[in-house]
Amino acid sequence: MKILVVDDEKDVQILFEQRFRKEMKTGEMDFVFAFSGEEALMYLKDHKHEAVLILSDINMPGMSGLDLLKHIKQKYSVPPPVVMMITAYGDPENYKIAMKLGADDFLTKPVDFISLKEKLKAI
Amino acid sequence: MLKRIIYSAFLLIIINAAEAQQVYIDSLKNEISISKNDTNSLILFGKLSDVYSEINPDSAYNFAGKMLAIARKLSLKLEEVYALDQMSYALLNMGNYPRSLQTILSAIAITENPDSEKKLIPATFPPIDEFFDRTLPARLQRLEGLSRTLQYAGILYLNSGNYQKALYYYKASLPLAMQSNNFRLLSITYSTMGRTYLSLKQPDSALISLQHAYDNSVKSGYYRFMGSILLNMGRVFIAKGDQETAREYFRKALLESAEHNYFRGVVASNLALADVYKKSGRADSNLYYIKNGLPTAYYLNAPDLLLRSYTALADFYKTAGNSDSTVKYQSLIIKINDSLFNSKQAQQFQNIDFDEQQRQQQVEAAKTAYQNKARQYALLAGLGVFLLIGFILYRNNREKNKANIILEKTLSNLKSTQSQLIQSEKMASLGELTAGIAHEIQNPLNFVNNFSELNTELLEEMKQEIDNSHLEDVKTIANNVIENEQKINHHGKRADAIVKGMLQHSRSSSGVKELTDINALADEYLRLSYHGLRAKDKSFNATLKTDFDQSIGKINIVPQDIGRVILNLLTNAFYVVNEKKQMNIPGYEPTVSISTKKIGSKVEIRVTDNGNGIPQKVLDKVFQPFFTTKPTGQGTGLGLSLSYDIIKAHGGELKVETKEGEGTTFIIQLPII
Repeated sequence: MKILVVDDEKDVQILFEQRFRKEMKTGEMDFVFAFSGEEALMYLKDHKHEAVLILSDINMPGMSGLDLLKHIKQKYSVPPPVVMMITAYGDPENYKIAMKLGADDFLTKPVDFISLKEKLKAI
Repeated sequence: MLKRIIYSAFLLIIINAAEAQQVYIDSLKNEISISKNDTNSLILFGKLSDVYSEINPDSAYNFAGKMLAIARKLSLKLEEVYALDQMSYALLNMGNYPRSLQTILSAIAITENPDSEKKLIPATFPPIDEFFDRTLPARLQRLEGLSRTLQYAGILYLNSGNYQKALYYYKASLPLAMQSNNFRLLSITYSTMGRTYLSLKQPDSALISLQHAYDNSVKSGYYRFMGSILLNMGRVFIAKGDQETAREYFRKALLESAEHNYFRGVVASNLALADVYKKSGRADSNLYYIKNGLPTAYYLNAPDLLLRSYTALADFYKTAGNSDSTVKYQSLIIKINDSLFNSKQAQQFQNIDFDEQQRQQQVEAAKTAYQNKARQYALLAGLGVFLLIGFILYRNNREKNKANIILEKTLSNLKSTQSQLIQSEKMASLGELTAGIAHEIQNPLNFVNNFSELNTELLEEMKQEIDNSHLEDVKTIANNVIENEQKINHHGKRADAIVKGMLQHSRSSSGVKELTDINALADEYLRLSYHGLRAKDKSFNATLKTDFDQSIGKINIVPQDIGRVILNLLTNAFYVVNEKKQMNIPGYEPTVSISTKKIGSKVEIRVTDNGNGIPQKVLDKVFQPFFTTKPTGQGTGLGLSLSYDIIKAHGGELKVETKEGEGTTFIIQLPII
């Protein structure tokens, strides 16, 4: 399962790699990283149907996570990848918009990696 | 034979003249008898007195007395003075110097008082003599009266032998007569002055005065006393030892006196000629001229002239050895002397003179006292004015001080208000930052927590691998732990920097410049402001563009202050792009960019937005304090104003470029020092 992680914080990559080091070792999960919405779209364009799950931060300079979500859900309609939004601001406003745009889940920072793992495994 | 004819001719002239005068006198008397007007009578009495003044002092005195009575009755002070002058002159001619002096002094006292000019005879009435003009202004009429009176006083002193005093009075008289160009009055005054100088044995001064007298007589066509002037000129030449010229003048004097009915001059001229001949040893001519004048002297009944005539005769007869005649005339001399200015009279005169001196001293003293008093009052008034000005100045000063105190108070209030405003502006911007700061801190804290949790996990794993003796894996895990520790440390420091930055921002500016990385500062505040706005409006998003010139290095600035400016500009930029976004313009991408660039000796920081731009009418006001386009409660209106001040304080410039509908760029230029 290829998972695309989108966040402007570059250290997120190391964090995920370590958090999911066992899953990565076993090949159960494969992670790719993009550090902006634009970068994420580029990747998706180049690697169609590769990523089945997208984990995106909402608050990013430039294209926000919600914009990215909108793009993905519109462009990659068949079959749309699972998109989980992650945000530091656990406010109902962002949640509502994300859900309206077709987000599959809404996570709040700090990310609880144990429950995230379970959620990912459940897919 | 010739002499006899001349002698007879003179007698005839005098008799004719006397007869003519008698006719005139009779007509005056006739007029008086039918006059029903007091003023008219006054003038007629004055005229009679004047006619008699050189002929018969008793009559002159008598008529002057009648004039005086009317003048007093009508309260015509200047006419009273005229009468007194006439009486004084008559008394002088009668030989009564004490009373003459008394009279003239009382006349002076009246004319010196300006009240005397208050009531005058109307200008329609004729003058008493040829000296006065009733059409003159009242003051000038009075001054002419005073001039004449002083001149009479001079004559009196001259006759009593006090020449200096005589000169004093003449000199007082002259300028008054000059004021009204009264040449006749000037003529007689100069004439009598000349006589006085003669008596003082100053022939040159005498001649100058007499020349003036002559000129003024000619100028005014007034020849009544020309005989006297010429006579005295002759005496000047006697004094100079020029008998010949003197004799010529005496002759002319005799003719002029006879022609103008100046009988005293006739007698005096004859006596003068007689004396000239006596000195040149011509006894017959001497006697001739004495006798030539004698009838006129008799006619005048003037004691001084009679005395001089008798003395001359006595001398003549004594020289001629005619003791009978000598005795006869000597006895006549004694008789006249008794009636004339004797020692008793001299004493009286001196007493009056002394009294007058005292009076004058009193007048002077009073004048001085008045002046002193006036000066004192002026001084007091000056002092009063001074005090008043002082008081006004003092009050003004006090008011000013009061106003100053109020102003200073107001100023200090304003200053404290200003500092409060600055502080609240800071806190307001801090408030805007809070969410951003929270976000910025949250992220590193998340990393710290995550990596520390991971390390715990990794170290557990490591223990297992050690037990399993998988040294390679142990090494790998150890490296991961070290890497994570570095991450923990990095993110801890990051959070620390943010907290420090926040504290720095809220603190009052240290005002101390320090070498600062302007790029890092700009980046930090960019993130803070962006997240600040995001915290407020969760839906907001904007494209952030940065273009930092890495060649700048560190520049010397007050970081809190410049940070505040950048923050303010960015907050504004985000505000306007958000505002434009709300308008739902298709294809609009809110974009805020910040760039730094080194240009020569300056660093330029540009903050650009693609908002709606600033309308031209607002552009001039954006740097004014309290100017804001934000709704009430959302902006203090101090942001740009304070920013402007901060950049100015750094010796830099804050400029704005804008295009309506396209966006705005704020440009900070700072010098690199």
